[in-house]
Amino acid sequence: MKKLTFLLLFTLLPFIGTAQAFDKYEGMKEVDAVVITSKMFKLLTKIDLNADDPETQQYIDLIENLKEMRVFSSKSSYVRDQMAADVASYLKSNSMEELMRVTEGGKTVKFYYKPGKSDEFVSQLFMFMNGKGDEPSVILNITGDINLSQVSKLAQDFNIPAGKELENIETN
Amino acid sequence: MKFTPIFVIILAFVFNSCNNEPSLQEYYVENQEDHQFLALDIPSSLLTGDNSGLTAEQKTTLKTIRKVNLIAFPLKEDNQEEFETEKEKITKILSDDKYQTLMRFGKGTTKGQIMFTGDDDAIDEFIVFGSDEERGFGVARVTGKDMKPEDLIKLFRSAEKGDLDIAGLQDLLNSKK
Repeated sequence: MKKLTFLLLFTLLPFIGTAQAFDKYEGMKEVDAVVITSKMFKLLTKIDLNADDPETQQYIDLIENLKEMRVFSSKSSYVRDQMAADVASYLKSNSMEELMRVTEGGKTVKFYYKPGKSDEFVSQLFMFMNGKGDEPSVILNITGDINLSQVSKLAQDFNIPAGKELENIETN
Repeated sequence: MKFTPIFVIILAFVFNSCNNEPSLQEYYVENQEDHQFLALDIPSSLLTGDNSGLTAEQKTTLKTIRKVNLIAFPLKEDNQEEFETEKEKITKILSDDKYQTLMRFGKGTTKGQIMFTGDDDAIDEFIVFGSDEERGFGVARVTGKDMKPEDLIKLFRSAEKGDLDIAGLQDLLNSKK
């Protein structure tokens, strides 16, 4: 019987594993969504980057070790409210640490992370920008083995909304 | 061994996953004659016009491609219902694990997904799926053998620039008019 329980667990595991927070935003009309998988990241390093200088190599290392990036942005006030509520409960149930917070002209940008293998590396980087008016609200979630000192370059390359804020990340 | 209810459930799961789900190819063949669909099948021999502008590397890539095909369901006033059914069918096909996602995106009523089958560095199928609630959906596929995805993308880029001569394709399009 024990075997059976295990078997059942394994059969169900994939279904449990795929349920992700913020998944619902992907299907919403009011939301612009982008999901990039690790396979795409690996591919990108092969296409666009040459590992000629050590700096690029560091960047390649960053991208190759990314697992997934999700960006959801919306200007609809209804979705904004929902995002704010979902983010709050997500942060509560996932023990994440605050990295930094920027308040600027009515919008707030908050960065959170889950610690990784060392001080410089985090296993998850999460950003929420609470926008108003013309500024969209944006949820950005990156998982993988993330070198914080290289993250700012991502913002430039992937044209992420609120990328400007991402560029401000620095390891102190 | 006794057949407990749980065992039966597991069996059902296992058989479900082994069940031969219809592939994109089958979907294509099944629907290419349907007047609701727009289907285009281009063997790679038609892609070779005057390609003297291509590098040796790009020519090699071109050789790994077997064919390019496209199937689309344009949305009209009277086929909303079929559109939903067909979109559901194709979404189900593409949700199979063998179709590995590179990226997904959505903007308003438009959605897109880029996928492939095969190994990371030797893919058999490169797939772009796009749908729009107002215009319909379409799937474009590049099939071949052990295609290198990075080379494929480089080749697409050169096609955009006009280096890749698709004279054969243009003749085909003209003859369809």
